[in-house]
Amino acid sequence: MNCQEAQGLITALVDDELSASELASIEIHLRECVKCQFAHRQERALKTAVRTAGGAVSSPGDLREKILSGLGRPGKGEALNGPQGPGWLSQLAFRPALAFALVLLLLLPVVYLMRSEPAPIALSALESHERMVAGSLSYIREESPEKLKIQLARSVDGRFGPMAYDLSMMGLRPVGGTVQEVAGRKIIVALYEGTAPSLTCYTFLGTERDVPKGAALFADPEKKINFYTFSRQGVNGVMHREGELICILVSEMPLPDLLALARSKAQPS
Amino acid sequence: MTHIDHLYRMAFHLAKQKEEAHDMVQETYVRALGAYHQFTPGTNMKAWLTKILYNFFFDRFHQKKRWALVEGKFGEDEEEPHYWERVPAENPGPESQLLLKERSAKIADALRNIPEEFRAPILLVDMGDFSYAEAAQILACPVGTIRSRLSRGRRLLYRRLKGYLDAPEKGSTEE
Repeated sequence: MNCQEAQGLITALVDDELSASELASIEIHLRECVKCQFAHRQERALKTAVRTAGGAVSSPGDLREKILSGLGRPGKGEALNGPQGPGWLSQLAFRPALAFALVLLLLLPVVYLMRSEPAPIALSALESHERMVAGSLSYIREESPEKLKIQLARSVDGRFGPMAYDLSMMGLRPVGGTVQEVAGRKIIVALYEGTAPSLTCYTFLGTERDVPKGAALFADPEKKINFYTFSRQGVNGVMHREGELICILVSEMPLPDLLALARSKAQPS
Repeated sequence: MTHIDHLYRMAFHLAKQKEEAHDMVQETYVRALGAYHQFTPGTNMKAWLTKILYNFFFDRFHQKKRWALVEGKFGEDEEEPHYWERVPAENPGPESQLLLKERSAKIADALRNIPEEFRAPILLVDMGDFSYAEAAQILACPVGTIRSRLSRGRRLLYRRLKGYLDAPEKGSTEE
């Protein structure tokens, strides 16, 4: 592989979108090519910078109000924008059916969430953690974090991937993982082992309705993320949400330590 | 409101003016209303809304260009010869809010100055956290196109930010 060929793969490597064979090829090339190592780091830095810049933009309050009110008509003397002007704005105000549909759309996710009972995934996580650590639950052994991530994401048809936290600061590294199904929902499980008590990380598509009953809430004011802690027979769990993904860290390490770990790794969505 | 920040972010970086971004987001919700029965609960609402937003953007503001006729346009002549030779920036460490704001504005400006065909995949993948497959679905193009345009787009973006991302951060405010 030459540097030109490596270029395309570096982009996909930065985005975790490489196939196993591509990953193997680029890893070999990167080991030997200082230029491409630089390019890889550089592209990763650029991606991070773009992502951070994106986070600096949020919707203005008046836009939210306009949409929510379903009116959005400009005030007197205020011009509509664009050559054709958004004529729908004025139409919407006089069309109750549209306004009703707007409310319906906004409520759609809520209705969807309410129609099904919350799955007991959190409690299942506490159980399966013990079985994984004890070795009574089979899983794929894979020591390369990248390969493991790809394999696990493929097991759920790429709909989502594991959180893939780097826990090396705790002396923990990923050693394997599996995909479980609880109440018809797929959950990616990654097992970390090392010098600290073993930890399992559960990732799945969900909402805060997946919080188990009786869990304690810790609202992180800086990250603006809610963390929920729960325990059973010496096994602790910390759950939080990142966008559409729910992450549960489960371990026998002390709950304050586990909570601190989750807080340090969680990324606001 | 569901995904409004994400939609506004996409619109903000696609549109030339803030007002256009407002229109895009408003129109997205209105179009979503008209088609809400087509949305399958449990599927990716964020991707669905983003696709609606992009369709509106291309229909309204982008009219004739779509995904056609751009391959090769930013080919070898756009290649940054030093791209592979530049030493990457060291981690600058914690940045002040001011520096972050400045950097965000600089990146937003650089993004606006690269062609939309390359900007769109960057926005979707880097800011929207979409996978290549999702981005391809939203932009109605092959996954391979997303990959190649991301690669080219990032190089174009890098050229725009050359010297800025690489410059060591200065914590002091001497100026």
